[in-house]
Order: sequence, then structure tokens, then C-alpha cells
Amino acid sequence: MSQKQRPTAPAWLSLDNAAKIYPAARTQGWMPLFRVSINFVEEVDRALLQKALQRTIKRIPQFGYRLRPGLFWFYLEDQDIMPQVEDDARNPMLPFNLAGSKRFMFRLRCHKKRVAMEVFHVLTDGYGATTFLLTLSAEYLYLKTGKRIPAEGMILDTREAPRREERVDSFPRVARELTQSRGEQSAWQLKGTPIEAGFLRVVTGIMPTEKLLFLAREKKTTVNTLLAAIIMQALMIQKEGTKRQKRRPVKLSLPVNLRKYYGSATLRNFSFYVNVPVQTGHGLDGLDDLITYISHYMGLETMEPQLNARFSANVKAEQNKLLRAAPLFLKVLVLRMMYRMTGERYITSTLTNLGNIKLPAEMAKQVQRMDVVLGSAQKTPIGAAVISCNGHTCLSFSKTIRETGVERHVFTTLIKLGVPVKIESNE
Amino acid sequence: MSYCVECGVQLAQELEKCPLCQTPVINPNAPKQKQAEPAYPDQIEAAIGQIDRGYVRQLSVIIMMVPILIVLLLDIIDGGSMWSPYVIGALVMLWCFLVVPIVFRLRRPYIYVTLDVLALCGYLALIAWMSGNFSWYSTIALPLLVLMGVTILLVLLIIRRIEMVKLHRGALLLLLFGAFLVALEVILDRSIWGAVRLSWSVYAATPMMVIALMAYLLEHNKVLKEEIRKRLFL
Repeated sequence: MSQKQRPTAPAWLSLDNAAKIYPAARTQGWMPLFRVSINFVEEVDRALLQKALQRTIKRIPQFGYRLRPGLFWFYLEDQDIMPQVEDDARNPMLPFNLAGSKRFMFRLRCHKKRVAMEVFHVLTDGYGATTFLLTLSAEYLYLKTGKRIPAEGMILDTREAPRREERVDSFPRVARELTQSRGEQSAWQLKGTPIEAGFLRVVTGIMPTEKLLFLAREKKTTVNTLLAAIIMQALMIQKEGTKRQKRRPVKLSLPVNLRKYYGSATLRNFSFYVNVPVQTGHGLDGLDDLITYISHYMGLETMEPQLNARFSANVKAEQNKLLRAAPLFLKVLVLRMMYRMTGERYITSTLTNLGNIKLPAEMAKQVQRMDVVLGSAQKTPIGAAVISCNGHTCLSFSKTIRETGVERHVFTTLIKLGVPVKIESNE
Repeated sequence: MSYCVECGVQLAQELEKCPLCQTPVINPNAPKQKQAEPAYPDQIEAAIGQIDRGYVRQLSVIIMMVPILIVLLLDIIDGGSMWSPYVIGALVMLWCFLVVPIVFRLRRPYIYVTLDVLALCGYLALIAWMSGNFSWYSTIALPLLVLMGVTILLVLLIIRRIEMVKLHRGALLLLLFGAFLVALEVILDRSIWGAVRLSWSVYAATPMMVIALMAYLLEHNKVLKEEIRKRLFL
């Protein structure tokens, strides 16, 4: 492992507000992970990718940090080593080994034309990881072709020094005094036949973005709401087939990127979520009705004051003097219990949307598409993530159960509505 | 390019069946291309963080050896007094109770229960030998432990292995518990009076046998079972 020089990076960083719960919530066999990948037109040159990785880490140094326990909180510590590009595997997103030194909180994996980045949520959210991967990809293409990709959109210029605002915790900066209770009604939980341990089943549907946009416009909605409505409908059908937890609503968690609200440039975690509940048996089951319902619900819940009041409660809890003074082992116990009691109890599933990634023309020619996959959750056995890039929209379901009812409903519904779907899987 | 005949989705070239409905891909015009580039490699990564059971086993033995050596040493320093076997025996018994289920992969509990009963029998035998009095051990301690061990094993067998309807299973458990009470009184009577005078256990076991018989018959009388279900439904 080569030495790196990055004098502008601080020796350590405290965890951001959203990340604080993750080290405590993780167990021996589970940690919150996600994966963003990019498919190039040609096979990846691994040596060049390694070089590009080193340059990108110098530009965004917090990605090279490791997680360490302090007396009161976990923190991120700089280390004088570089991560290495690894081979991809059929069973992606196994938990990282964080014990000891020389451990990173992300993995960069390579298979044929694809470069995939698996990230522990402590480090960043989907936006931060996508920025890192795009910057890395642009640097890789520069090393490969000799033509520099312009640093626009989410691509950063690796010749620049790291910027302080990219590593700040934006939550406490924008949080207000007035908070809202975090209590919610428990969600109906999907159950199924578990697949073998250490395996995450990934089913990806690749669709033409244009057709999906056309359909969304036809339904007078956004792609995100359209997909959320179809997934919600699929989950509701699953619930109707069981007798368990009849009174609990089906709840789909939709993460919201907070950067656009506050103009933050941070590459740490800065997103929140809205859990959309729908009760079955009330007649709300048609796709058009669900689109209207989700669209209005999200319209209300994603208003800045509403979101702020909810995440400010987390910031306030973190700033509680009693909690701050408690030693780490006690905090871990409390946070772990809190995560078990509230974390995934309030959701049936998640749909993460990283949006439509715009690439510079020079880069677009050499990129096929991008993918995003959520890691397994502790309780919820299925999660969905979507990203659009270069005219392809990839909707990936990641699952720990054998049953295929949800994704089958989603993809067949899209086909019936005129959107062709191509399926890939790691089965 | 193949499509699933059930779902209508286009399938990646390397897929042999549809991941959504498991329908096999049969396209005689485009047989599966071996050179198709799979979306994921064949390599399967091993999960990290598994407990190294061999290491835990060795570590537990080493940790146990520390107090054992200390008490043996103290015995020698104390001029040959013999109290260390009590501590050593208790530690071995605790090791059987606590360490065995953690570090050995015992898929079924029968071996674990048998080992625990044997460990307890052994430790009590050690105490009897050290105190020089075996009568309490042979008349009451050993028979009681064997009775308890056999009963627990039979309960586990009935609950886990023997496939039968719920009422029959309940009936069998009741019969077993009744037999346990009778055997318990037999052992107690023999150790206290030297002879068997069955009394309380019969009073306790008789209603159990009657209820077990009723449960058994009820399972065979569908009309009566339905009538009871109807009256008692919540």
C-alpha cells in the first residue's frame, strides 16, 4: 500500500448526526451498506483505476478514513494508506471487517466493464458516494484517454484541494429549536422464506428513461412518485395475502436529499426520509389513486419546515448533555436498542432515488449506465433503489427472501404500461 | 435476446431462468450463448466475522485452567488438604453447561441435555466420594437426576420429533408428566421409608391421565370437537 500525502485533510472527524447511530446499530453479520456502480463501454483497466482511486481520495480525503471508538463517541480517523481495488463478487455487500487498522469504510470493486463502490452509511449517503464514483470515473477516463473530463455537475476536479464545506456535518447548522416527535405508527412487515446467510439477491430492471418519463408525464407525476406508487401497490398485494398485522399500514420510506433545501455542498450524510403510509382495505389500491395520494403526501412532508422539524429532533437528541456525557459503551447499548425499537419498525420497504445523473458529453460516450443497490436491512427483507444515467433507468431490488411477488408485480406493471424492462440478476 | 413468456421482461443473456417467476428460458432460435458476459462474476465471497469456534474452545479451556492450577497449588501449600476437587469439579460442570452449547455445533439438544445430566451426576458422585458417604447419592440423587434427564429428553422428543396432531401431543405430554410424578414418589418413598407407598402422585397423575384420554378421544370425535370449537371461539 502506498503512502499518500494530503496535508489539507484533518487528522480526525466526528461522525455526522445521521451517521451516529450506524456504528451502534451494526452487528457481527449486518451493517447498513449501499452500492453505486458505473458501467463503462469498454473493459476496465485495473491499474489505471487504482491510480484514479488514489487521486480521488486525495481530493475527497474523508473516504480514506477509518472508524474508531472514542471514550464518548465514535469518530473517523485519517490513515496513511490507500484502499485497493478489489474483485467483484456474486454476493455483493457483505459486512466490512472494521476491526484493526488498515480498514476502510468503502470497497471499490471491479468486474469487466463495471466499477462498483460499496459504502458503509457512516461515511456518506447516496449523493456523496455518487459524487465520489463520478469523480473517480472522470479521473479514470482522463488517465485512459488523456482527455480531461470537465468538472461539472457532480464531478469534482481532482487537481483542486479538498474543501472544508465538503466534510462538514450540515445537520446542526440548519437545525432549529422547534422539533417534532419522531414517533410513528409501526408498519406492516413483509415476511418470506429466507435465502442463505451471506447472500443478497439482487434483481435489476433496466428501462429506457425516455419511456419512463413519458409514462410519468402521462400520469401527470414524477418518475419517483410513479415507481413509489407501483412498489406500494405491490407491497399492498403482498399484505392482502396474509393475515398478520392487519391493522398496520404498508409504509414505504422515501429518502430526501436535503442539499437542495439548504445549498449544502457536504459529501457526508445529509439526507432524511419520509415514510409514506397506506392502509389496505380502505379502497385505496388503484395505481392512479396511489399516485395522487403519494404525490400529495410527499408534497406536504417534503416542505422544508416539516422536514426540518423532524431532523431537528435528532440533532436535539444528539446535543442532549446527559447523552453526550454518557460513555460510549452505554451509548451503544441505548442507540442499538433505539434502532431495534424504532429504526426499521416504521417501514415496510425503502425506495431510494439517486435521480437522473447528467454526464458531460465527453464522459457520456464512454459510459453505458449506472446502478444503485441497497444493502440488506435488519428487519425489512426487500429494498429498492433507482438511478438514471445516459438514457437508462436501473431499478434494483435487493432481497433476503426467496419470494419474488413484489419485483414481479413492479416490472410486469411497467411492461403493461408500455415500458420495456430488461432483467439482470446475481442468482 | 430472450423474453420471459410469463412476465414479458427481456432477460440478460446469461440467465437460464427468469429471476421473477423461475420460468426456464427456452429459445431454440437463440440458444444460451456460453460467451455471454454475466452481470456478476462467479466468485462468491466468504462472510467475515464468523466465530472461530476452535479458538473459543481452546481459550475457554485455558481460562478454566487458571483457577484449577491456583486451587491445586493452594492445596499443596496447605499441606496436602483436599478441597481443590470441589472447585475443579464445579468448573468442569460449568464448562459443560455454558461453553459446550456455544462452541460446539450441536444441532439437536439431546446430546447437550445428556451431557449436562452426566456432568451433574459426576459432580455429585465426586462430592459423595470426597465426603465418604455414597448412600444419599445412590438412593436419591442419582435416581432423581436420571429421572429428570430421561423426562426432559422425552419431552424434547415429543415436541421436536414425533409428528402428531396437537391434541395427541398434549395428551402424550400429560401422560409423561403423570408418569414422572409417580416415579418421583417411588424414588422418594424408597429413600425415606425403604418401601413404596404411593399416595399423592396417584391423585395428581389420575386427572392428568383422564384429561389425556379425553384429549385423545376428542381428536377422534370430529363432531364433538367442532361443537367445542363453536362454543369456545373468540
